[in-house]
Amino acid sequence: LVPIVALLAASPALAQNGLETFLGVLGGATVGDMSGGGISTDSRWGGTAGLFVGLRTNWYAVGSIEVSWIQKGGERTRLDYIEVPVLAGATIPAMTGSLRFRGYVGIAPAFKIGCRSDTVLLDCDDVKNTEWSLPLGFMVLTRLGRGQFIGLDLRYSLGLSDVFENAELGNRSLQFRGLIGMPLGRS
Amino acid sequence: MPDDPSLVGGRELRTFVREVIADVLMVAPEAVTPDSRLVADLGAESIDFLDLIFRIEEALGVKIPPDRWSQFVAERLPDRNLVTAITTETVVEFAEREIRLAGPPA
Repeated sequence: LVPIVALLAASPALAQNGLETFLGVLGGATVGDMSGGGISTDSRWGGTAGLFVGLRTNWYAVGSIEVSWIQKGGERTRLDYIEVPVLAGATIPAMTGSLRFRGYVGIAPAFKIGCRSDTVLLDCDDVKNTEWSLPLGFMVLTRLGRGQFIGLDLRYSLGLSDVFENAELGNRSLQFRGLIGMPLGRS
Repeated sequence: MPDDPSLVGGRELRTFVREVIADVLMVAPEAVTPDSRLVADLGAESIDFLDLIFRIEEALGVKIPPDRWSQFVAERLPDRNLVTAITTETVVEFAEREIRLAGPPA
């Protein structure tokens, strides 16, 4: 938490102008499984889509909040969540065109909205309503002009809590997403 | 440091700055005039200024701490709204100052 707060500490030079804020949409595919207690399921593919808002607080630092629908689970168990990742990261210019690289980390609570399980071993009635995970990711971004930007996002999400009340299994997933954003203004 | 401080990579400093701004902000070079407001007119953000500083640094062959831009802007444009006050010419003046600070080529 301390590095995140330090990273997001506002630069006086920027605060003079107002912090830059932005918003956008994202979507893509996920592949994940459930793992824990020395076992893991086979993986399964799913989808994800959502919105994000963010702000830049100094030269490099970016903070953002997403609200996304995401499919997790593994093998024959599909879990649908609304996930709300809170992320902090740093952006650096690639010095070619307007290409930018961004790395980030955060914390992501997710709220169950659906479940389908085709195995008797894992019962949807036992799925916890809330799941926590640790997202780590890397983005490649480029601008379209006047602050609009598009990008590709590769994220690994490691479950920090068990999915089921009665089994030590956590979600883990790789997410491949595209995103498009625009400036929201200065706060 | 370039041998001729008025030239950067064989180009006149103003031409160089205009081309770099156009490249970083993904706008046509013709859209970048001396009076273009980088934030208000061309949509520049803080990370874009960092990119500009890196590229000026590379072209001049000198080390420019990022804070130097903030200091320059604070001195050059005191109490101004930087959204509208930073122009192409501001960046040219900054590059000129960095050339002076770096001194004559060895």
